[in-house]
Amino acid sequence: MSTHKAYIVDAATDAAVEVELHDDLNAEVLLDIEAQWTPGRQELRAKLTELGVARDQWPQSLHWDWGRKGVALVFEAPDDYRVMAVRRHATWEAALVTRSKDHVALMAPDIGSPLIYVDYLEVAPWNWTVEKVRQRKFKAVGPVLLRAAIEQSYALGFAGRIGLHALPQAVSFYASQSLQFVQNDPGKQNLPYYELSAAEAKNRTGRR
Amino acid sequence: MHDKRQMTLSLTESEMKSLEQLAQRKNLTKTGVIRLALRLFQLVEERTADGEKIFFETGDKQKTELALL
Repeated sequence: MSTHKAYIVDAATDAAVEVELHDDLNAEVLLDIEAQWTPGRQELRAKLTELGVARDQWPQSLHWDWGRKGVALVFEAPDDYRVMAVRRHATWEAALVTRSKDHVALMAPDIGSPLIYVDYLEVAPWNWTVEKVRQRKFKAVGPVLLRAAIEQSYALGFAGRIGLHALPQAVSFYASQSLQFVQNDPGKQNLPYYELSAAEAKNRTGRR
Repeated sequence: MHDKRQMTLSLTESEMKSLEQLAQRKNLTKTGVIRLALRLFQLVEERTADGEKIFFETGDKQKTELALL
């Protein structure tokens, strides 16, 4: 397990806030993360219900359960997953799971080259801006983890390439992070599949 | 936030050996194995309490019900 210093942004003041990036955790931490996030999910679900917000407007990861994902990972891929997470003091602000085996780029000119697949990425419920309900507490949290996934890709010799399926509400975020739409994937609930090419990774990280 | 409580766990030699093997195989600590096993137990309990059944599926799509008795 390794820990690095990183920065996120206080959404109210735009001030930089120092956090810890943990880039090599195991599935057990997902139980702690879900324990911290569950009250926020429940509170938000109750508020959305109370306000009569239509279900299709609810955050699309509201039903996620990181504890359940942790159980699945240790059975499905004990040697092929990595958990990364951002922590501020004792609070987990965002989490990401990557897979590094058997995933290759579908986008030219990198077709067939290995990449890091981002299996899940979510920020804590208090870091979601939910229209008519509340503003997020911290911003620029997701990019810290995406950068960590890119660094993992470099470390494994994958030239910074990453790929992921996006929830529709997250499409604009991934586009803003230089990921390119590849195709809708019928094998994955028709979710849009995005990739960051080696060239874009290079631009994004300033590597030569 | 979410302070953890400690407990002493007594296991037979065979149970401890199984725990150590699982921890090694799954790249977890022994505590991690037990915590995730508890979460799995909860998941199974939630589903089976409503009368649902558990099946295992082989690579060629053969399904076998998990008999818990």
